[in-house]
Amino acid sequence: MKPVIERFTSNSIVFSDNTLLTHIDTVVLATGYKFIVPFLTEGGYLQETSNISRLPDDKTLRTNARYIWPLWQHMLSLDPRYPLGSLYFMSMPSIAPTMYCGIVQTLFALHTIADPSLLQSRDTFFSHLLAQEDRLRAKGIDPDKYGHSVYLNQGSNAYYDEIVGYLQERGLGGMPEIPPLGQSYSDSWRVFDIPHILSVVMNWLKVESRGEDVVRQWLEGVETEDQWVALMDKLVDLGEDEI
Amino acid sequence: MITNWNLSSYIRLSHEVLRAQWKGTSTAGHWALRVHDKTKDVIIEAAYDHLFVAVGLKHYPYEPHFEGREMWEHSGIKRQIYHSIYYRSPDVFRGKNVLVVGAGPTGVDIVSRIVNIANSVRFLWIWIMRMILCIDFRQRRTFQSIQMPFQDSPVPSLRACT
Repeated sequence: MKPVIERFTSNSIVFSDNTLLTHIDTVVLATGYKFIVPFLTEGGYLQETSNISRLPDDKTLRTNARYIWPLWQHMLSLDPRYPLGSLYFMSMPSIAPTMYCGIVQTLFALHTIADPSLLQSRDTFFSHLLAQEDRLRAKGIDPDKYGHSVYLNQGSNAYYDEIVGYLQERGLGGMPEIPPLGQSYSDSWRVFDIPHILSVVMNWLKVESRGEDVVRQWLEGVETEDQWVALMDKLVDLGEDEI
Repeated sequence: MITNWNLSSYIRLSHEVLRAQWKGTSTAGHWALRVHDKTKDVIIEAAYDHLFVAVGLKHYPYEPHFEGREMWEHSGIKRQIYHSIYYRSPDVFRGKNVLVVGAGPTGVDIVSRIVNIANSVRFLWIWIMRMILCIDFRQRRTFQSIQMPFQDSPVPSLRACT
C-alpha cells in the first residue's frame, strides 16, 4: 500500500507515508479531465469556482472542474434562471459505458422536451440530488470530487435503470428503446461488478493457456446470448480442476 | 442515418459556439448563442429553446497540483511528467522507469501497453477514498503472454486492497 503523492523533490517522489521513489524518470498522469464548458462560462451560465459552495438561496450552475452542480442524474440542469429542460449535459458520468449512457440520457432528454409535464418540480429533483450526495458522503466519498462517478454512486446499470424507470413510471414503457414497466433496461448479466469481470477474464486466460482443444471444448455449442452468459457465470467461480 | 432521416440541413459543421446566454426568466425565454462559422469566418447569433451540451467532457486535462513538480522535472536529465491525453505510442517508454498515476480505464490501458517495453512500471492504483496501492510489475514475463496487468494479483487480494 502506498498513500498519495505528497510532493516532488529534486531527486525523488515523496509519498505521504514518507516513503520515496527515486528511480522514476517518467510520470504519466492518468488523472482525468476537467468538467468545464467555456462557452457557458463566457455567457455567465457556468461559474468556475474552486469550491462548490451550497448556499441555500443560490442554485446557479457552477463547476470546480471535477463536478458540475446542481445537475439531476448528471444531466439535467436545475439552475433556476431558466425553465427545467432548457439545458442538458450528455455523457458526463465517468466509468460508465458511453453508448448506453448516451442512449438513456437521450431518451430522457427527448421525451421531456417533447412533453415537459413529464418533469417533476425543480425542488423534487433538487432533493433527489442532495440525497444522492449524502449517500456518497456516508460512504466517505466527497461528491465535489467524485460526484459524477456513477460507479461510486449507484453503479452504471442502476443509473440506466433509474432513468429509464423514471420514464416507465410515467407511461412511456413500450415506447421505442424503453422496455415495458416492470422490466429493467439493463440485462441482468450486465450487472457484474468489477471483481467478477476480472475473474471472468483471468479464468478465461487460464482456459486459453490449456491450448486450443480445451478452448474448443468450452465453446462447443455456445451460440445464444443465454449460453454465453452461462459460460461467464461458470468462469466466475472456476476451480483449477474444472478447466 | 443523416441521409435516411434528411437531417443534413440541421447540422452545422465547422461551427464553434463561443457563448451561450439565457435571455428570459425562470419560466420562459431562449438561449442566445454566439457562433463562429469557420466556413465563412463570420460570427452569427442564433436563438434556441433547448441546449444539449454534448461536446465531450474529456478534452481539458485535469492534473492534481504537486508541490515541487517543476523542481523534480528540471533536476534530472530527460525527466518528464505529463497527462495521459498526450499518450500516443508505447515506444517512447522504452528503457524508462515509469510511474502511472490514476487507475481509471486510461491508467489500466496505458500500463498494459507499456509494461513490456519500459524498464520498470509502477502503477498508482487510486481506488478513491485515498486508498492507494502501488504495484511493482517485476514479473513482467507473465504479462508478455497475456497482456493483463493484474494477472499475478488474484481477485480476492485485489478486492481487499480496494
